[in-house]
Amino acid sequence: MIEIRDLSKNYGTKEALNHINLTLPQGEIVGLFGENGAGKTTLQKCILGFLRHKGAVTLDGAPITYRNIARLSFATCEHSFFPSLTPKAHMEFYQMHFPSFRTKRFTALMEFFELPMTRQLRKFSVGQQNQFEVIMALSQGADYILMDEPFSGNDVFNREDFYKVLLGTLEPTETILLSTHLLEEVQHFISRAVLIHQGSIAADALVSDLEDQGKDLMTFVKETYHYRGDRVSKVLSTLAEDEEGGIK
Amino acid sequence: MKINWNLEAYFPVGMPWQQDSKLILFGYVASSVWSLYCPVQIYQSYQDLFDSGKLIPEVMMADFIQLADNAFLGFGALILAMILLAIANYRYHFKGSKSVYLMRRLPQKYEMLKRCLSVPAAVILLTLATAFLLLMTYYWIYCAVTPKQCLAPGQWQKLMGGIFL
Repeated sequence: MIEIRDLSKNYGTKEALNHINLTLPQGEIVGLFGENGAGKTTLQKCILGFLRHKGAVTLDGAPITYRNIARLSFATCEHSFFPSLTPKAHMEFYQMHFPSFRTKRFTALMEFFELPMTRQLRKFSVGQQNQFEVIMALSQGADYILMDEPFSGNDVFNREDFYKVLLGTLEPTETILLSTHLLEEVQHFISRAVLIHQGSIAADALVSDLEDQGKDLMTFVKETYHYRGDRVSKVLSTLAEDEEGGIK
Repeated sequence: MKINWNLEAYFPVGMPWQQDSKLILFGYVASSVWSLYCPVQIYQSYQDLFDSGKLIPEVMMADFIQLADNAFLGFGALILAMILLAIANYRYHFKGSKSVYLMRRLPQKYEMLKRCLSVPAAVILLTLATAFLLLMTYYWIYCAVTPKQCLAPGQWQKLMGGIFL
């Protein structure tokens, strides 16, 4: 279990994360949602130890260090592969450094997405690069797979394929923390939704509980953020009034 | 720690290490060859001591530190290049992607450090050792060939002063 206790992170005077408390048990698929700049990426980077922060992040009670970091993988829209290497070379590199690398899963996913094994990644399309990034995160053999907007740039059919493949290939002990804006797409795929707002946890709910309450994820998010649906119509009517009044 | 003798393991992943190795080797050989400027200077200065095969009275050999001047610039340039290489190796992990995220997630704590710093550090040490050995060799040649009466006193002190001050 990943346990985050009282995690705070500042960028200069700007507070990016504010006393976050969160647990991620094994076997959950957790959606991490929030507006741009809410702190989703920062939270994931703090979990991985990429950023200095206050508070504690532990994995089964132990701090996350090089001793247990292999139990965590990361797929990011910024991409963490080596652009000049081929997928085959990546596979060999991962096999060398991650003893639990899942070669069979890697090969199967590469075949499924029809990605060439011997072409340099810099020659892949952005969509293919995203696919490869996620494939590596899934194949590393990690118990906790952190994903930060992994599908930005992929078309809807491609994303749909990925969700299905994910559900089909994940083992019960594997946990996913998926940060995304694609609420409607992932709502049937995640088991839990964590909402982050201005650096704080705004809500944390099981999707099954929401379903019991007859709510979909989008409604839950809108409620949590006190989204004002009439905001747009108000602005448009104000603009229309201004134009009628001759204001240019 | 187990030492991997495969040179590729000491360069950033995916870096053209053969090409970089060749450039480093070229820099090292070129710096060593350039340092031969010092014995050439010693020879010329030695020739100036004589006129028609006879030692010119009261003429003095130029100081070693003057003769060695510029001869070791190549080694200095190579050391500077290695410092820049170490920086380039680190920056490589931000080029085209953020492969730094992968390197920092490896269970081998010092893997990234090893791949960024090993070669530049080793080349700097080798360069310093070579430069020192060549300097001592040239100094020995200088002392050996210079007639005693033509050797200005305090050469060693001047050399040390030139190196460390």
